[in-house]
Amino acid sequence: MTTAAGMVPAPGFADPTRDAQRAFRAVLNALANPTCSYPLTGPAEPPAALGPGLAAVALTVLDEDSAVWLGGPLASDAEVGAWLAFHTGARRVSNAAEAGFIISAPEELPPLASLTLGTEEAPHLSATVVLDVRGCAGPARFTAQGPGIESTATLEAPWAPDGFADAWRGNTDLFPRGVDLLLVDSATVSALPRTTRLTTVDTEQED
Amino acid sequence: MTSQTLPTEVPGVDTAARQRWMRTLAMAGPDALDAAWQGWEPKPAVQAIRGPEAGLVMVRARTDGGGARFNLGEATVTRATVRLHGEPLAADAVGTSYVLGTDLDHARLAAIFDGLLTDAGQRERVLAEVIAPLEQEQAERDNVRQADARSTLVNFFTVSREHE
Repeated sequence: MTTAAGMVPAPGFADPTRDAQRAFRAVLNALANPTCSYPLTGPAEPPAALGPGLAAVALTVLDEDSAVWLGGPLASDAEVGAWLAFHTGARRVSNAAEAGFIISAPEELPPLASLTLGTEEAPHLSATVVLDVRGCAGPARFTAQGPGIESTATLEAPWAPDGFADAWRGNTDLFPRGVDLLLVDSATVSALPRTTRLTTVDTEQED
Repeated sequence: MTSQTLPTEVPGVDTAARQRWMRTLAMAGPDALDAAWQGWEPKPAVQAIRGPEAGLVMVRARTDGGGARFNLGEATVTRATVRLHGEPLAADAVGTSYVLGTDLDHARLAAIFDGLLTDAGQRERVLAEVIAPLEQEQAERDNVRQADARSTLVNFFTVSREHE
């Protein structure tokens, strides 16, 4: 390591305790009410590749006991690596199957079934996927059902890669095992816990 | 504490030297540090990267210095990390401090001086103007304390009973 200027990590939350609590509450609300969005306030100068939303979630959920896997451009970004290591102390793993947290854009997301899914005795040990949904523009729309949703809700999912509906069905069928999804853009968070069932809405028929 | 996330080594300085000045800064009186920083010209710009924040650190010890490890107790520790930039530094510098107690300003000032010491151009001046007087003052204080303690020294010995 060197003390080159680029390796000096940017500051984290201005008020670490309260800001992290606010972000945690937003994540909690998002998981309690799937498909609803909650505002996030991130640190003032997050690493460019993370943006304020992902930075806020990362500072809130990661600590030195967690193992994190970064996907795509994040993985090779030295600034992000140094920043996360400095502020959270989280361990970086190169194998997504060993990670407790996956931070990735939708395109680089490994197959959900290949991640840590927990066990029947300890389903809480499964991975949490933090999906970077900034700038996604896909046609997918789903009808969501499950705990936290009164009757049904419509979920616009521009981030959903091809075959996501099948992959997600596989994940919900594993209940109580399975991964949870946090969908984070630059200022909001919404969530898909493993209990939410999705059905594809045929967008062409709707129009 | 956590995994190593910032370089602990400064180019051109061995780790022991940095440990020594970080110790001196941590043991210094907050007023002395404050006065030294007030009088420091030119000052680089200071940006707080983490803290100063107070927390608890578990102090661990070994029985008899080398035996089994046990938790002695928790100590209140304040830490800070700052980035120094601009004049008179050649490049950005990072300073870190861990100080016993809850004095946030003390931790911030200690981190600032640690940052200045990592800069090759400033190091000699800080060592001469800040660290050397502090070390001398601390050595004198320690000597006085040790002399006080030594004057109360009592050698205990047990007289064996001769007549049972």
